[in-house]
This record gives sequence, C-alpha cells and structure tokens, in this order.
Amino acid sequence: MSEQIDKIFREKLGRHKAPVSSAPDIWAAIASDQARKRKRARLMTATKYAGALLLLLAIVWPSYNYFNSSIDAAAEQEIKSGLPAATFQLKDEAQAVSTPLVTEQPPNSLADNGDISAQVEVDQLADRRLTNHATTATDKKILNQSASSTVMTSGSAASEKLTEQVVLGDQPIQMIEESRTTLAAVDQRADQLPTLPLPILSPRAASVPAPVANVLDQEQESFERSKKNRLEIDLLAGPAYANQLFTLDDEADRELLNAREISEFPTVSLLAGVRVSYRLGPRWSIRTGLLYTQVRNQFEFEQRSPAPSEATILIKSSNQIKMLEVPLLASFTLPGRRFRLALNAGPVINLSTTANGRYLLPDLMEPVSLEDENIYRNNIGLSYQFSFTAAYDLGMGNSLLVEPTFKNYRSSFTHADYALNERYWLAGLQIGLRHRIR
Amino acid sequence: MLSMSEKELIEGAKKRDARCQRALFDRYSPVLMGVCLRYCRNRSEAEDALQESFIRIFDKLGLYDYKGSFEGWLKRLTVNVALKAYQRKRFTHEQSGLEAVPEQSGDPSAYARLGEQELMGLVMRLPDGYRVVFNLYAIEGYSHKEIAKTLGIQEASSRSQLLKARKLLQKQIENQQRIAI
Repeated sequence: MSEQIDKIFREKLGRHKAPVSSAPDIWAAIASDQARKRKRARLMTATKYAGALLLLLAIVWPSYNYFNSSIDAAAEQEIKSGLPAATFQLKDEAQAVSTPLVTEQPPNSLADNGDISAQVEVDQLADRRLTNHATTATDKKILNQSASSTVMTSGSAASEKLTEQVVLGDQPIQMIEESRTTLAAVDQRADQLPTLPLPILSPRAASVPAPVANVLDQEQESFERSKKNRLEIDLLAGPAYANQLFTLDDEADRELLNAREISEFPTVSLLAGVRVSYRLGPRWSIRTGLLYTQVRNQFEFEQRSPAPSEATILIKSSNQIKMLEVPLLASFTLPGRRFRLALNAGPVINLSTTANGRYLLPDLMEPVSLEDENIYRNNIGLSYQFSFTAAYDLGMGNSLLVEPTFKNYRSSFTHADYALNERYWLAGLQIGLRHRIR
Repeated sequence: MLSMSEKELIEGAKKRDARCQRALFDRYSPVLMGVCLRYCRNRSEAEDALQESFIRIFDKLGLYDYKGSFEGWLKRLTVNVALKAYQRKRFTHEQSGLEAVPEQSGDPSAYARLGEQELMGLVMRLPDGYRVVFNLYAIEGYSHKEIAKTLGIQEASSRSQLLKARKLLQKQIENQQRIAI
C-alpha cells in the first residue's frame, strides 16, 4: 500500500513544473555570477600565458647566452693552454704558404718554384685549412682580424694571375689538369707543413676580443680584487593577481562564507618596492628592502530598496588590504653575459596591514564596513616569496628587470575570533630597474 | 535561440555563452523549480536554491558527457544543492505530534484523486526532515542506505522519518476529506 502511494507521488510530482515568478531576478543574479567568472577566467588565462612566455624566455635566453659564453670560454682556455692552438698555427701556415721565404720548407717547396698555378693551389689549400680549423667563433674572429687579410691578399693576387693565363689561352686546360694533380700532392704535403710554436702567450691573449673573455673568470677576479660592485639597488613595481581563500571552523558560519564568496571577487592588485642586494659571490646574493603590497577585491551587492518601490541598487566597493613588508631573500644567479636570470626565495616579514572596504553580512543582508567591524589583523606575520629575476644589462651599471613573483600568505588575515579565515596567495609580474653601486 | 538543439545549447553553455545559458535557464527552470519546491519550506527558499543550482550547473556543465538524460543530470545536481541548503540550516528535531496517528498509510485512491498542486502542497507542509527523506525515497528513488549516507544520518532514522512522513501525509488527507464532507 505504501509503495502505491509512493508511486502516485512519484508519477505526479516527478515531472512537476512550477512557474518561477521572479525568474528575471534569479537570472540577473546568475548572469552576474557568470560574468564575474568569465572575467576571472580571462584574467587567469592571460596570467598563465604571460607566465608561460616568461618562463620560456627565462629558460631559452640564458641558455643561449650560456652556450655562447661557454664556447668563448673554451676558446680562451685553448689560447691559454696552447692546445690545440689552432688559431695561431693557422696564422703561421697562412703566412708560410703565402710567402715564398719559409724556413724549414722542403726543397721541392711549391712556393719556391714560381709556378703560379701551384701558388694558387697553395693559397687555396691555406684557405681550406683555415676554414677547416676555424671551428669556433673565436677562431673566426681572430682570423678576420689578422690572418685572413694575408691569405686573401695572396689568394686574390694569384687568382688574378691564373685568370689572366686562362683568358690568354696559354694551355689553360692542361694547366688546370696539372693544378688538380698537384693539388692532391700538395694536400698530402700540407699536413707536413711546418708550424711555429706558440711563442708568447700574453701579447696574443691581449689581442683577444673582449667578448671572448670568460665571464665567470672576470667575475671571480673582480670579487677577489675589490669589495666594490657588491651592492645593487632595485626599484620594482607591477600588477598582481591575489587569490582570496575563505575557510571556516564552524559549519554554522557557512552562510557568511557563501555571502562573502559570492559578493567579493579579485581585481588587479599591486606590488611595488625598493630592494637592496648584497652580492656574496659571483652567484649568491641576499636581497632585502621595503615592499608595498595592495590586495584588491571588488565588492558588489544588489540591494533591494524597501517596498513599495523595491528598486534594485548595485552597491560597489573596492576592498583594499595594504601591507608594508620586508623581504629577506636568498638569490642564486645563473650565468649570462648581458642577460641574467636569478632565482629568489625567502620569507617576507609583515610590518603593518590595514584594510578598508565593505563585506556582506548575511544576517542583515546588507554591506558593512571592514574598518568598523575590525576583522583584520594589524600584522599578519610571515609570508613566503619565490621569484625569478630576469635582468638585462643596459650598460653603465644599470639593468632592466622583469620579475614574476609568487607570494603565499599562510596565516589568516582575520582575527582568530572572526568566523572565517581569510588567506591569500598572490602571483604578480614586476618590472623595474637595477643599479649597481660602484 | 529556441530553434537550437539541446546539444547546441549545452555546448554553447559549456563555453559560457550567455545566450545559451539563458536559453537553458528558460527551458529548465520550471522543472527544477518543481524540484526545489519539494525540498524547501517555501517559495522564497526554493528560488534561492534554484539560483544556486543554476550557478552550480553552469560551473559543472563541462562534466556532462551526454550519457543519460540531461534533465535527469540537472535534477540530481539540483537535489544535491537543495540538500546542502537543508543541511546548512541545521534544524533541530522536529516535534510533529504524530504518535497518535495510526500506522496505516491510508487508501491510495485518496491520493490518486488529488492533483499535482494538492500533492505538492501536502509535501511542502511536511516538516523539513520528513519532507527530505520522503522526497529522496518516494520520488527520487534513493534507498535508505543512500539517504543515510547523503544526509549523514542512520539508516534507521531514515526509515523512521519516512514512516512519520507517510503518517503525516495520511493525517493531512483525512483532514482534507473531513473538511470536504
């Protein structure tokens, strides 16, 4: 019998439709919520793309710089050690093959017999050998500066002579054939061409272009020699996204949590500060200073005026939590020439916190002032910061900084006796300038 | 917009297209209002639950994978929202004075003669705890085990509340018949 009654209710009420008398109001509230979420989603997407782009740049650019400086460092090391000393041997070879007067040259030296074709072949060979040896950027640079001029001069002169003979028809085909044959022989003998030992290191090292110098060694030496250049001052500012997170201790306060979650949503927060860095070594620094953080939330609430008008008034307020903080960051700098990346992490000590704005009190269903209710703590203690600093050297001891920053506030911003715990994490992108104090 | 198929509307709403969301709201709000009314004490509470349900629906719509009826999916979500609202209110044990009511549930034909509005009225007049258990068991088809798990109560409590709900419904029917005579 009971089952039959249940069935009657199920059949009649299972698909029961009821008119929604205040559908426009309900839809307005839903649409407002969805609009906020769309806006938040767009902000999050933009933040993600910006973060990904910066991360990509942070990885690719220093790697590129590091790769280049590694090549230069390797070249410098070769110069210092004399092995394989390819550059200077090449210069000597070039000189040897382009100048007839070469000591310890075999009696059948091609350079001595005045044969133009042979001279051309030797020049070509020198060119080839130079090219083969010039495997590093440094080699090429040095060749461009010193050796190549010799080779090119003799090579071009010989080529002109050869061209003249070919044009004059003085057995040109036979000459080319002879040249080919001789070239093979010369190629073999070229390996036995005398090379001059590397006599003095310092004059040659002095001729090394500045970019070749090893960045790491320079830094190390500068630190050993001088106590200067260890202080840097940074000025940074930028936008941030502050994620508000409410938790409750007692389920009875769920309505307050819902009211605040629905009526408050994040807008663009701010980060700004001045920071001093002390370089402990080529890689490690400590950074401290004064940071100003402004967490911003938009408060919106549709309040109905009393009957009979029952008009809806949209109440808006920009809620702001302002903080003065002192960061204590350890920083590790990755090597680079003009572009450097540093990883910073450490605690941030809160000096003061103030809040102003409004929030929704569900019992009264009307907004109340944050200052009047005094729900926020004046000091929220420690938070933790992690950031990447991408510094681009502008010269004159100045650098352009781009710093994606993440901060986590572990403790609640609200007093312990307030029903809700309010915590934040903050992700921002600061841009600024660094000046090295000399 | 009305010419769009249900699937197109759902896909549009998944992308948070406001027009598709509005179309879904217009199409399904009466059905879901019916669900909310069964779980809430009055129309005002039901409208609040409906609003919260649609917010939840649009947030979770990406999870709907077209397996099973869309209307059934919407109803389940709405029931969950209504149940959460009910749990938040934390009503104390309600005294209904049903001890004197006879145990039999009465003649089914007496219920069959009633229309949807009258039956809805009977359900809405039930105390909160009874109404929720009766709705879940009799209309949604939950077992006592599922009800106990959903509401965080003992299975015995669920059975007891269902029994008391039926008694109260019977009492209301008898009162109506007495008035009619």
